[in-house]
Amino acid sequence: MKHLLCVAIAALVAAAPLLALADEIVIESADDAFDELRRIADPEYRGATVEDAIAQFYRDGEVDEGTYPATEMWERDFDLTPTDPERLGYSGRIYLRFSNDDISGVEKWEHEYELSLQYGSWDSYLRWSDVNAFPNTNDPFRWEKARVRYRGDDFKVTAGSLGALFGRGLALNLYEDRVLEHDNEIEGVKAEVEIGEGDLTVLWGTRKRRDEPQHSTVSAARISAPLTDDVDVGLHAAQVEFPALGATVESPDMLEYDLVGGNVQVRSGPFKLYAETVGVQRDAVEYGNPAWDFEGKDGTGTYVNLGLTGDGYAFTGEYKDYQGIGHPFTILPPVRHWSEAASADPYDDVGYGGSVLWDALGDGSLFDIHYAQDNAKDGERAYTEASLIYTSPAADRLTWVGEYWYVLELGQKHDIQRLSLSRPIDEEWTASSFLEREEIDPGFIPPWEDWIVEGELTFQSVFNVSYTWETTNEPDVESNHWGIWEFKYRPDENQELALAMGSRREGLVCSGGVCRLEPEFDGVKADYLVRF
Amino acid sequence: MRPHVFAIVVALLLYGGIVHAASAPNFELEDLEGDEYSLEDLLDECELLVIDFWQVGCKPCNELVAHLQEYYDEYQDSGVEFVIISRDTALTVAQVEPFFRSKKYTFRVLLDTELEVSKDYGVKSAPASFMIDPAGEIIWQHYSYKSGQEEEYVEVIEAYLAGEEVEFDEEAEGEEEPAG
Repeated sequence: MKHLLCVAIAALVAAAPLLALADEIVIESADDAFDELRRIADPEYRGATVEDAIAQFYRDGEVDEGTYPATEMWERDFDLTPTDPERLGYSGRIYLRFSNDDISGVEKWEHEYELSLQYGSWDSYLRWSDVNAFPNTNDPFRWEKARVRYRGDDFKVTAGSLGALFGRGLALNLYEDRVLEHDNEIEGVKAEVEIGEGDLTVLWGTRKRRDEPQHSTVSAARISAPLTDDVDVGLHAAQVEFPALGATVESPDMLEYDLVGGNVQVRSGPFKLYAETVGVQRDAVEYGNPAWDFEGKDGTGTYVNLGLTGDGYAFTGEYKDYQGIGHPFTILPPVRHWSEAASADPYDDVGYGGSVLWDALGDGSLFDIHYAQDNAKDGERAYTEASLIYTSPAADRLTWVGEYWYVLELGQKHDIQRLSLSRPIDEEWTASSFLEREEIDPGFIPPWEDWIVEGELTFQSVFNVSYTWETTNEPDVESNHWGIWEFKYRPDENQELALAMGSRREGLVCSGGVCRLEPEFDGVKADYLVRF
Repeated sequence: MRPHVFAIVVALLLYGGIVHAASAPNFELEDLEGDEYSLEDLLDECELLVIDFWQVGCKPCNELVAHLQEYYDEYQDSGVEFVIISRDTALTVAQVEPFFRSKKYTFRVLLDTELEVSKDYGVKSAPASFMIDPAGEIIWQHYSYKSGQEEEYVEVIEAYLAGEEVEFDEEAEGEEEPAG
């Protein structure tokens, strides 16, 4: 698939100049005449008369005001806005990185090339890379992504690497997050068609990770449409097939799930309700691996979001109930907000949460008050979080954000306070700092404290330097402090140089429902990025 | 030639010979009301389009967007349009509308829940801002944000509206207008 796309794109690039230079115009209708007038009209000329069109394109003797096509032209309303001729547009990035990590012993050079092309209704995206966000992991240099897309008036077709989101993702949620090295996109074809007021999406694709013995396959379709001005509905179905844990090339143990789901959204003034449900049917597999197949047990999932907004405030409530709906091609809404645990368990997770955003003081500041809890159905995996965040007005010279979090996870309490400060020193320099204190109490040993302190100086958009220091008095930790210097230099808006030297603690990083354990790092990283 | 040396050479050659206003990749995204907008639709409505990639929980994003609202109010009549593109996936997109409604922001917010537009623009984190002229050329771009940098947006907008060529010139900092 990728090689065919490469040939197609190369042909498009090669043909673009020829297409741009083509100057033979055939006028067969009033539409052709108007299109041509638009193309050649002086940029300052914003209109045209029928006489202009007739004089331009109809030879003497053929003009007859009473017959086709001249009559057609007289009856037309037109505004001939000039448009530029089609041309090949492009943009891209080249990224180079060197890193040397003393913890893992990995020293590596990495490089990445991205290219976006567009010509008329066509566009494409290509990426070659061996960059891995984690310094202890080496990836091979390979053609990572290739996508070609054509947009028609009421349809769009995408071929190559593609993502897809059905509703809020209970059935299907394919996307790539490069910060976390999350990628469950497939390679295939997706067609999106507007049908009246509604949309139809059909897709098919495959995926194979390097550690998988077989390709996974996804087939899916979704239709969504407004029922009324205030109510939208969607229905979707998908079939996913993927290798079970423990499957090998010699013994391909493939699991097949059929999913059916739907969603409804209701808007009424300041009120908004969103609800989505999904059903998962599994084929029974004898001696099935419990991580992926509950011996044929089917699953169901429900997600509800309620919103109410008013003058200076917004309330959001969420509810989730996920029972056995996990598969590789979805990531579920978590209702949790705490950055180190913001994910959901697709196999057994019931929970709810609520947030209030409030401009209580009327000065551009914002209070964010949040609570959430979830659990397994048997109640043996309790999770609770509560937070209060204050953001000062952006118009103030000194801007700050204060946060308090309380989290109870599997019996372990986290008490967290954070303070971020930023203030311009003069017209060119800005100073920023960040302070975090976290007390962790597991309940069966004395609690300990983790501290993070960061200071940063920035010179316009050109240069910034920061130092981050972390420390802990957690018992039995071999190294209890880490410090890292980071420098960034932007000689212009198209280039960026970055250097990091020092050590960083191992930690959980979560974003958008996906969490990754970032390994401990001690060494050097240097990056260079150029955009064109 | 080792791959990374080759890459450095290519990068330097590109920068030396080809760097110019890049074409803004086209896109079609839905706003908070479910209405779809393309880059072409937005460019048809304005003299200068300012796109800012934003996401929930990003503190510099929230600080920057407050300033962008001020500029939107000030420059809207001059044909400058501000559009926010949210990088929140389906998992945090529920928090987007409450934030913008609670702050009473008035610019258009588009949802890039599949992160495809972010990929096309080379945006891996927010905030990232782009200014695009009606011909679809990116005339200015800015990544990350610190207090005080919002003034650079004003300098670029003023220069563009005055018909001056927009360039990033470190030596020109401190002057009233960037070198043309």
